[in-house]
Amino acid sequence: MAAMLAAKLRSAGAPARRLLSSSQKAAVRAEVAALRAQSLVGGGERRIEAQHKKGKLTARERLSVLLDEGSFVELDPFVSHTCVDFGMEHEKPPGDGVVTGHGLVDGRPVCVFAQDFTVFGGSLSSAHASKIVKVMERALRVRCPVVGLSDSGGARIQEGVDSLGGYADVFQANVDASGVVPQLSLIMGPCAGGAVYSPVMTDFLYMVRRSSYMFVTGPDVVKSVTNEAVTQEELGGAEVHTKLSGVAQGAFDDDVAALRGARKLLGYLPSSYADAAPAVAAYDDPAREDPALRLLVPDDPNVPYDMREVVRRVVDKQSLLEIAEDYAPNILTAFARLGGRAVGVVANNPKSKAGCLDIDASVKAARFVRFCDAFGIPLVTFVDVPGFLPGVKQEHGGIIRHGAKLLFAYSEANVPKLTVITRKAYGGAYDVMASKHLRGDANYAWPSAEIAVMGAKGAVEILYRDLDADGQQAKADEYARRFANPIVAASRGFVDDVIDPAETRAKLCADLDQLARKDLPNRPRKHTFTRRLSHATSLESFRKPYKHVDLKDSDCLNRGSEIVSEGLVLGVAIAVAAYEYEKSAHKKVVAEQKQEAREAQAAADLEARLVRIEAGLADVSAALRDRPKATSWWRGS
Amino acid sequence: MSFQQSKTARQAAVVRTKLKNLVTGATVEDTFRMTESFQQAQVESNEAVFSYEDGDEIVFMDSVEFDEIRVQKEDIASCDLLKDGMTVSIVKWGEVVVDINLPSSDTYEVTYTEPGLKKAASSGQSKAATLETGAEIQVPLFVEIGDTIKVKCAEREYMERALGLKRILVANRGEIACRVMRTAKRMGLETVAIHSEADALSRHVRMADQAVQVGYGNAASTSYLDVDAVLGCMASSGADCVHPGYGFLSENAEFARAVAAAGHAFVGPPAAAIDDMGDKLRSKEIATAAGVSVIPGGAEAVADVADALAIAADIGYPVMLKASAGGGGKGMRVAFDAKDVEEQWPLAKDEAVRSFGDDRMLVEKFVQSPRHLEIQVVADAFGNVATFPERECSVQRRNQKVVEEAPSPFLSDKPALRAEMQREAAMLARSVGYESAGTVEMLVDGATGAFYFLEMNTRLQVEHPITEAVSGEDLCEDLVELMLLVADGQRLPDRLLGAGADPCFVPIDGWAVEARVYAEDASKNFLPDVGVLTAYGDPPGASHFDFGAGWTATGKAASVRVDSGIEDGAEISIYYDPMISKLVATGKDREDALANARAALDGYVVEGLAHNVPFCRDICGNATFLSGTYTTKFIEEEYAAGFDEARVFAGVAGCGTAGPELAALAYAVDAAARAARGANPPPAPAVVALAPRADAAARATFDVSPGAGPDAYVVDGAAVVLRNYAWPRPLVDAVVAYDSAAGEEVRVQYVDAAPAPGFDHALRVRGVRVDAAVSSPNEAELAKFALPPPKPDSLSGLKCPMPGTLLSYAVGEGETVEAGQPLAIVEAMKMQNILRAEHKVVVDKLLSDVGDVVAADQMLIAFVQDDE
Repeated sequence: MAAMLAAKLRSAGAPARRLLSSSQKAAVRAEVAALRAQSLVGGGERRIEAQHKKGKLTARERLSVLLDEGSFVELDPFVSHTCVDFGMEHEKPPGDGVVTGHGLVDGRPVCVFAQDFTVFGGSLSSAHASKIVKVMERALRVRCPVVGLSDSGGARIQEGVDSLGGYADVFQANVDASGVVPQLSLIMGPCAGGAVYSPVMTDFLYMVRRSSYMFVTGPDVVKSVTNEAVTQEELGGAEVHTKLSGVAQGAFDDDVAALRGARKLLGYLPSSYADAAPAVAAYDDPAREDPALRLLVPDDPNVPYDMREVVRRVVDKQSLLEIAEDYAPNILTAFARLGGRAVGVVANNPKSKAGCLDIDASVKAARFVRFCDAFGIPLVTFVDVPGFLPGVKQEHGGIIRHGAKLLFAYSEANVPKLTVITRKAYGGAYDVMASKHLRGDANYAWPSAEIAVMGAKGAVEILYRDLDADGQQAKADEYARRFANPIVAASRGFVDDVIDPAETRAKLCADLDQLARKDLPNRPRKHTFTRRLSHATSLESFRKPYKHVDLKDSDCLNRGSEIVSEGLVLGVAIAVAAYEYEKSAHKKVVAEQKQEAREAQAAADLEARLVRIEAGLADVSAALRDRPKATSWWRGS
Repeated sequence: MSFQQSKTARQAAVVRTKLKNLVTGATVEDTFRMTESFQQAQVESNEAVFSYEDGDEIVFMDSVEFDEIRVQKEDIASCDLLKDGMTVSIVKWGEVVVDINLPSSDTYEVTYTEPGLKKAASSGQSKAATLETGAEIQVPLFVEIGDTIKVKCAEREYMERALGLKRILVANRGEIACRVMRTAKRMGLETVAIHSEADALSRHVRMADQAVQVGYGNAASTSYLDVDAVLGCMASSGADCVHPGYGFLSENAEFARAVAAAGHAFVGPPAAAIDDMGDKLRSKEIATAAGVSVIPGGAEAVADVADALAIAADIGYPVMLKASAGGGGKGMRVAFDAKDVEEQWPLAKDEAVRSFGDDRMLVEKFVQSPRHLEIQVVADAFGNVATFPERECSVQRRNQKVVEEAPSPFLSDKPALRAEMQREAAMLARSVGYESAGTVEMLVDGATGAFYFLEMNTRLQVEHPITEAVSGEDLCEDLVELMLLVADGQRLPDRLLGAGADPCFVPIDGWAVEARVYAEDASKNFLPDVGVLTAYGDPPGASHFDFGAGWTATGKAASVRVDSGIEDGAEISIYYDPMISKLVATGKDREDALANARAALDGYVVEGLAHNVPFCRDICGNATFLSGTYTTKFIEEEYAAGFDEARVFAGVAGCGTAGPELAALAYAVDAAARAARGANPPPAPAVVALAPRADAAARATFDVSPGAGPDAYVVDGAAVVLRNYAWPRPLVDAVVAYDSAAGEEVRVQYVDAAPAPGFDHALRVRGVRVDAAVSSPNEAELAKFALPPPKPDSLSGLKCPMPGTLLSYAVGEGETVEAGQPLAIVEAMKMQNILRAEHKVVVDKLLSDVGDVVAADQMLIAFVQDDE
């Protein structure tokens, strides 16, 4: 329409110069208004109606539910694609099938992008992709979460390889943002082929039942290759991905419910790794005792119970938010609050598969533990685990390496780690489940706990395989008396205390208060830094290279910053971290020195080493200043 | 160490003194030499028992400390004296006066600390308070040697004489075991609980002084019902008497005999009386012989119509013609006059032959408006029989009582009729040499006032608390106390024996209503449920097993008593009776008691399984019930089509007349919850959706926005004010209260469980779960585009709702089934449950074999799917 107006104006002949200018401005204003209007209606009423008929909302409708009312600020409404093939040059809708921008969720900033199925089926062009990447870069710059709403038919086929490049740009942006800001994906329509890899690399993935599906190859291809006939829903619907594949962490009945679910989840997440998770005033008494906890664990070790009930009673009332509830129900992962603080809960659930660790449970929990660790959310672990699930399928499926993921995640995590053993803690699984040996901060056992290498029956079958049934039973009783309790472990200091179940909450809340000051850096390594530096687009964001090292008061920082400005990031980062590592080691030594004078010398040595390092840094800095020109390796120029 | 006693008392009692930790190093014998002035009843190692009398003073003469003085009877104290801040443990209940005389007139404070409840401190020379078991009085003062500390209990004395019985075993579980132990402890008995393996952690076990496992396994048949095992427990625990509670072995004469044979006391009637009354025919004969009214007719088969007419004329119309072999209403005809008898006789006979292959007929008096009333009696071994006010138990479903009241509204203006019934009940008890507590059940014709003996229950009954609530002049009677006295061979207290009159009537005061709360879903044909209680909380102000403050002063004030063997986190298992509790509400009159019952049910928190609180709540507000004119047909008539929970919303789809108030409440709750969670305030205006029974399809929506002033809202254009709205700790407290427009307090529960998908809050209104969602108008508008919900599971097949055994299929493959038609029968918890079709469906396949043990949610039948 605006174009027509402009053409009309042109055809009206050449008026006076001032008039022309004025009318040109008017035309531009009109065109802007027209383009904006077009961008607001997306693919037009007919397509919007079709979208609604499928139970789906439009991109803008979705954002109106996701974000606080009136808080959405749009970016790039005028971006259009650059394709000139297959008649695409005649159709250039502003916005190009994705709405991007930022807004607030419960008053906290988030960056968002929402694919618009009504425009080219939400297909991804290079322009579409660059809008997504742009808004993600903004999220990194201001350190706020990114929420992506997927509803796309796939690549913009007319664009060919440009579209593929766009996907890869988004993937790279996802990886760059990983561990820096929380990323949420809501699949609210089709998401197939390469498109699946962006959402699956984000931290949380929610789907909408009956209107969304995800798969790498669709039913037609599956049929032609393997001759298996499946529907889209059966192949990659929300039920499949929340129950069988573990791709999605939640499923909702409709768009509004999914978007409200995302709002709820964001309430537990920090804005970035450098921020604290949002705490609320403790509305539930941290010292509240719950005598019912004394009744929940059955005496008979073979009788199941629902660990969810234990967790629900310990955490702040109405604060439990389960993640991946339907996948591997033998382990529970959830966000919750304790005395108002957000925590991540991992709990074996004997209600399913006796609570044992299998491949799915290990992978599910490992991912959750790593997320919590990356974002500074304390971990609370409830243990009732008879061991790893035996079986050919498990062994051939790689329970060894998958189980190791959970072991690794727990061992690496240096957020506060609190552990409560409610009943069984057998074998290797005992070690894995945030045991004292993996730097657990507070490890408690209930009186019903049994911390042992294995169950009494199994142990006796190995130790006394020659005995008859009665003899074995007698030995099993003896073994149970000796080991089916928390006392042996407590006497070794493997658990800090055997506590009354009713006071579990009070203990955990008190521990969290104290552990808010926890400082336990991991050793620096390449992974720690490359991940951080790849997104270090400004000095400001570099000030906190990783969450356990606060560089603000460090002398080294200023010198380091200078060098950063010259581009030699990696070397400095390692130097800085080495400095921090030594500094923290030194602190410990100083503390001990008060008791043992003999260590004073060692401390002095360290002191000297620090001086040397600082001097070395100064040298490096000076040398760099003198260099004629530094290249910025990370900008690739 | 020495005591000094003065003799100002009314009754004898027992002082049990435990002497440990003697600072002088004196031996036990030494100690007793120093106290020769005492009657020494018993010496066991370092434990001695003394007799002394009410009003006695205990004077501490020197600095010997004792760990504990437990004064039973009217005294309450276990003292650890002579210390600042000393603690006195209360071992009795009731009003306690701590009266401390000091040489100086120093003032001091007495602080009472009750478990779970802090009472304010007060100053002065004495302080009265009602204390719970285990309560502690802390007296922060320094007591000089020579001071007198008198701890006196103003409570009615619990024993006429010291009990010969010392240790009681309660051969039961759950609430009744707790109930019996409560009184036993009060009377100074040591208590022994027995338990099956499943009950090892339950409340009655922890309440007892000692607990023993009975038999093995979880099934009642191998534990609580095993006579030998129970006797074994008595022997091993050293119990000298046993209370059987109700159910289990309570009416087992063999058990009573075995207990007696083993030399123990059976707290119940003599075995012969159990035998006599246990057999229906024999009890009827005895009753007839004793001159008690029994239903006329029916004694023998009637030969022909002439005979029938003769008998009918004899017993009076209307009469019932019924098949001798009959049952279930078949072959039963009512005749109101001779003409009717002639007409109906051949039809009834015909029906009898066709239904039962047996044409023998009976003619019996027909009771037009049957009411089930019962008279509580307690008899002692000296021939005294106390008769108590009647209980009205007509609200029954399949002979299971649901709501009982005492007294009966039917008899409240007929004292003569009541006296007549009590007189006959006493006659019957005396005729069989009855002892202990028993109940004579009567069928009363509401139309004529005629009453007939039905049977006698030779045990303490489930609903005995309502009798306790309304009996006695100033103090509620305690039936278990009376049973223990009788078992101990004592005479009934004088107050129950009238002025020498025979029979003796216990005076009535006040009104009481009992709701039996079961784990069964009234809206699903009373399907029993099992599971762990995820939340459990008494109604505000309730007390356990007695009437709290009202117990000692008067039980007539509005109070709530909850008798329950479970607690938060406990499990209702498949092994035993699915009773959750008995909730008893009292009041000065019927109206008062029913209002109290409704409020109590609204504030009673039970979560984690289906229960019948909504049903009990509905009955307590039912017009017919309120009128007092109901009969035993009440439930089948009033709830002919089953109980629909949405009915409590009085008609209007969604939430009825109280809808706007509820919507405003949901909005207020949402605002408080959001504030607690640190989220944005709710949208204004907002759309509030309410879904009864968490059924999203039945939702009703309201436009709500905040109004002018606190707790004011505008709902659908009309102003709503929630007066005195209170939710002190949002998300934590279970009860939210406000005053309705009509001025009465409304209690709504905030359920500590996940709301249904798409909803924000789970509430409970009059027992019914109502889920609420608060959305912005935009969200509400957009939510309309959501796809309609998929077909329910009930269209694809029949799922077994609870674990059990599949007894039979009622349909075959290929059959078309109408909604409501039976599909299969599953036995669970000894109940046969008929599973019915929810829609019209065609049976495709039967998936299990008859006799299989089936799990909850297991698919039993697959239906044919039409693909639209």
